[in-house]
Amino acid sequence: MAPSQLKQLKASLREHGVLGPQKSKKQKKATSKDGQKRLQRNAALEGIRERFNPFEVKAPARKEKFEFASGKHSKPAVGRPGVTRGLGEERRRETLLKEIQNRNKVGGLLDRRFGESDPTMTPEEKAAERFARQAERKLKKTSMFNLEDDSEDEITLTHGGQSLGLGERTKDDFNEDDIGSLNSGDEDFEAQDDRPRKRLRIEDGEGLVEEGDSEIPERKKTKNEVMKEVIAKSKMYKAERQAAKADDDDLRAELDKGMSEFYAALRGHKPAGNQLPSPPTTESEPHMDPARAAMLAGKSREDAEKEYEANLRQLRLEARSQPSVRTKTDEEKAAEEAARLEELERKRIRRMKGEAESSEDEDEDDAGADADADADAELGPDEDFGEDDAETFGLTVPPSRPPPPPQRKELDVEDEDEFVLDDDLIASDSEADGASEQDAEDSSSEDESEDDGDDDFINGLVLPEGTQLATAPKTTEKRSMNNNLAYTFPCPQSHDGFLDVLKDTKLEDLPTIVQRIRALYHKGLAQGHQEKLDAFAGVLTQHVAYLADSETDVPFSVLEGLLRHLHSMAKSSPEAVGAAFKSQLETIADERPLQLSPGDLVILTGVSTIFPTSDHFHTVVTPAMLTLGRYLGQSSIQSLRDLGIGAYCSSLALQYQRLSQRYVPEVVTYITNALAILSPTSLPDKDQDGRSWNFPIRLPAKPLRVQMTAAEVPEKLIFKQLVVEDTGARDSNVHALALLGGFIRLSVQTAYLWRQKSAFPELVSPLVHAVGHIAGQSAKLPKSIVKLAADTLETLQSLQEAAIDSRLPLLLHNHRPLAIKTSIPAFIDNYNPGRHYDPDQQRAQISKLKAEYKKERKGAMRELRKDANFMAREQLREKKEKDDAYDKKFKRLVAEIQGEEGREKKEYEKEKRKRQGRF
Amino acid sequence: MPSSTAMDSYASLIAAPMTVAQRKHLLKQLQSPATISTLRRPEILMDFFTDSLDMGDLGLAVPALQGLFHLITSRNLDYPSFYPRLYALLDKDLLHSKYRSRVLRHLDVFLAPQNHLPAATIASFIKRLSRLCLFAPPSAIVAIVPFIYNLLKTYPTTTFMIHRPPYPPYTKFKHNLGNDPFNPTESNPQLTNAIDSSLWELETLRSHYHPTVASIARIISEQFTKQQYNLEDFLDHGYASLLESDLTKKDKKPPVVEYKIPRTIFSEEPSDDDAGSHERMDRLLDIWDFEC
Repeated sequence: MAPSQLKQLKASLREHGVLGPQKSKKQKKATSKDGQKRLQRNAALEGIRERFNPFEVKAPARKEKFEFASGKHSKPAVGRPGVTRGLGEERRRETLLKEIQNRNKVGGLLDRRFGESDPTMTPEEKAAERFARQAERKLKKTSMFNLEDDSEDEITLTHGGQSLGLGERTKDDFNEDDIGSLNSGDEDFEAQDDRPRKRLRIEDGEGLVEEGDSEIPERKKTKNEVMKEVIAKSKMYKAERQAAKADDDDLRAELDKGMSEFYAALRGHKPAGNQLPSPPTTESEPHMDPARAAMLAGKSREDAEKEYEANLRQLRLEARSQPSVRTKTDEEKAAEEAARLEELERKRIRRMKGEAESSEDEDEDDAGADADADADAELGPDEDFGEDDAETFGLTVPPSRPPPPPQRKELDVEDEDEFVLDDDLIASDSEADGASEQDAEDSSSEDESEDDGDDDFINGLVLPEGTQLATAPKTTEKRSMNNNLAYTFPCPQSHDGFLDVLKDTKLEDLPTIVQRIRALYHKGLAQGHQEKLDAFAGVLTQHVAYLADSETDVPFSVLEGLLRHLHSMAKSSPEAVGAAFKSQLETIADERPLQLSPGDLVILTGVSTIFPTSDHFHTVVTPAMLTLGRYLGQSSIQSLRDLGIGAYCSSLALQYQRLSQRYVPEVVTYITNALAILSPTSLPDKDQDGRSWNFPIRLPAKPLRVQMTAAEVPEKLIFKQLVVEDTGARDSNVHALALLGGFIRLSVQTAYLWRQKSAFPELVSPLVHAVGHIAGQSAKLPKSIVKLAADTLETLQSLQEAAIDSRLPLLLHNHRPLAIKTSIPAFIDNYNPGRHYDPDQQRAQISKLKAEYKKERKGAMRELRKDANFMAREQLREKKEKDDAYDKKFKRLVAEIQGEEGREKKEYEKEKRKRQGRF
Repeated sequence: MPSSTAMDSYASLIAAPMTVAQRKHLLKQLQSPATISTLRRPEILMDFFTDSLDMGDLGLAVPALQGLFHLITSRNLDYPSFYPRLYALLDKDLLHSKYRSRVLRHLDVFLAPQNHLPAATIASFIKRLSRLCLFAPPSAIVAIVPFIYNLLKTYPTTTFMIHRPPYPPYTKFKHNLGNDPFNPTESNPQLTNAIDSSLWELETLRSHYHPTVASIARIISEQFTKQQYNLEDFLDHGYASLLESDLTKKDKKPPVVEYKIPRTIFSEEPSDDDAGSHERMDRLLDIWDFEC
């Protein structure tokens, strides 16, 4: 009977050296310091615990919370530390122990044969299992049954081309031979086979011998045969399919042949041909369509036939007619036109305010700009990031916030609709239909009503060549020009080329020539014409400037005609014309920014009519306006001609701003300067209130002051005299007087244009001062001028007073106070306080990694500790085994020696006794 | 330590009569704080500087002011009319001259908050500059407006000039509010009443013909979120640079073209059915005659 548990425990403790005789303090210290010993002791204790509690069950330290509420009625989780520990132990024994045992050992064989390390299997079982495995591996080869793949993968042993072993082949041959020899003799057999004769003979012999056996009626088919059969079958199916397909094709072809007739019948398109001959057949046929019979009843054949025809025709017409656009009444047309103009005006105003157009990309642009602005706003002075403040406003070369580029798309479609309807005309030519003709008429009449001014452009230019010849004389007639002008011209691609073309023509014919070129090279006529016309637009722009510069007596009607041609070309290709004008402006800026020529002025005038000058930013108008401003602001006035050009520029600048009423400081300073220059006596430095100028007055080196004259002064300024010709001393005084009057009138225009500005009283005060000074010179100026000046002064002063009266202090900052920046608190679904919700992605990732590392580290340390324990245990066990073995051996040896000694002693005693007995 | 002979030579130089060019050259040498600090008795330069300032030439006044300012700040020179002198410098020629950028840079220093200037003085400077702006080229406006913004931001009292409710606690009178209380003839910036005025000039410049200038002028009426504009970025622009940036600007979309082709450009409209509207639209033909 085993001793009690307690005794067993005590015994084992003593055995492992955990309990023992009392130890002195020194000894205790020594043991506690010796890590190896402590490890061994722990391992021993562990082992004892394990041994004494094999069925240890560990309940979780805390019960699951809200077990009933959460509805999870699972069994309480029970840990079995003993089992898991045992498993771990097992695993260690398999891995770690092996490694320890194999430590410092090299080489060895690894037996991978099946069941080799399994001692429970008998050799027979092992062999059977191995065979089964091999067979399985063979079966796995799928390619063996793959028909497409002819390669024979099966490895067979051969000798002399013949397979060895229990070859199915031999069996096959045998059977085939058998049948062959029975049916057709040796010949076809020989043809089939080319095996060595000798072998064959032997086989034949065998075949004869075994003939009896082979006559089994239903022989199982060999694999080869099965395969052949399968192949044959699949081939047959394929042939069948092909035949069926061919049949189908034939049928389809037949049906296709009859298709056109079938369609005709469907559409009711084939009345006369087929229906006429049908009546005789209906007569003969007893079965007749009841409806037709009713129609025929009581009518003659002829009448019925006619009626039928009529109906059919009507039907055809009905099928083809489509709902047409209702003709609009005059009121509707007017309303539509008004709506269209309103829309155009709305768009213009949007552009004028510089707002983004409705299209999406521009919204994005705007948003981007806003974001920029926001970013700017956020940047303090310290954190400037080297960004240029001015760049935000597009001040430097790469502008970061371009003003929204003008929008065009819809507008383009609109004017194409009503301006160039040539596409419709050309397209409808091929159809030659009544309806489309009417359409064309409709639209052309609409066109007439819509833009009354453009007729002469459309006349020659929208029609294809043939019709153009007919209409061209009309236009020339209208313009009273000679008829022997050529009708075809090459499309000039450079200005020199254009001059060549124009060599022998009169100046007055120029618009006609341009018109003909545009008609000849209309984009609808051939590919590439658009590009040519685009180049021609550049040439034409150059030529306008050239004409106005070089030929002093060019009639303005010609320039006007050319500019209008450019305008209508700009409608179809705005980029080209815009680029042409821009290049002209560039030339001006590079070569003569402060000496504008008449040609430049004509170009600038053209800009004012072709492009909308009210836009906030316009790629052509803005530089043009800047060119004007530059001239007015920086040019030095030395002659009356300069003053004439300046007057024209001021006038143009006012014309540019007629709608948007933007303020041009240069105009005010220029007009005042001009008045100061022309005034018969020098302008006092301070006005009557003692205020001095806010801008410098620059007087020319040679005074240009007007003198009293009795000559008639023209009402208006004459462009030719003042701008183009270099005025001699001849009638300079008249010109000066005319200019003085012009500038006074300009000052009124200026005042009217900007009377809404809040700083109007200030900006008009220099004009008031200058005009007032001139009005006071009644002794030295003609009466008309003095009167004009006096009237103007009155107007200006009344405008100024009105502006002062209506003006209020500025209230610019009615903004809502800026709110402190807030952010909506983030609400997280299924919030779990145990989880970390770090908004900083990177930090969250790092902490996650850290946690993982900590966990792994802990696990690894635990494992290592367990491994160390295990190793200590194993070493202890080994040592004990060794000690035991040594002990045993020692004891055995001692016993042996003792036994020997005892025997010898007995022997000795015996001998002694013998001897004693003898003696 | 410079030798006394150098000192004496300077003393004799500035005492001797000289031409304007010589004076300019001498000023250029003497204006920098480094040179002034090498002198043993820089006080002797005081009269030289004030004389130069009084000559009324911008080319002389600018370096003289710089030298004076250095003397005032480092040598405790008592020159009470410094700011009136500075104020007088802002005359009609300033914004059109080549000294514009230099004067603005100096102004930036002279009007800095550490000088503890009264708001009325600052307001006078602001008002005078904006008045000059009304007739200035775009390049000057572009520089002045951010400068004024900076001043308004540094001296919040002056922001009444851009936002003033039209009734008595804020205005001096109940009526006639359109009259500008600013007295442009007053030479003392402390007494111009500019602080009671409004900057209508800048408001008008918001509708400047050039879009860039207009958008810069608009910063006055937007929320003052930016602390300071870097003045250097806005100096040294001109017609040429503006024109170049406009001409080289990439336009994504083709330019808009006027919808209606006018029947005539250089001559009166033959049909005079509604002459009134026509006259309103065309200012060119009112004044100009293109017929021969």
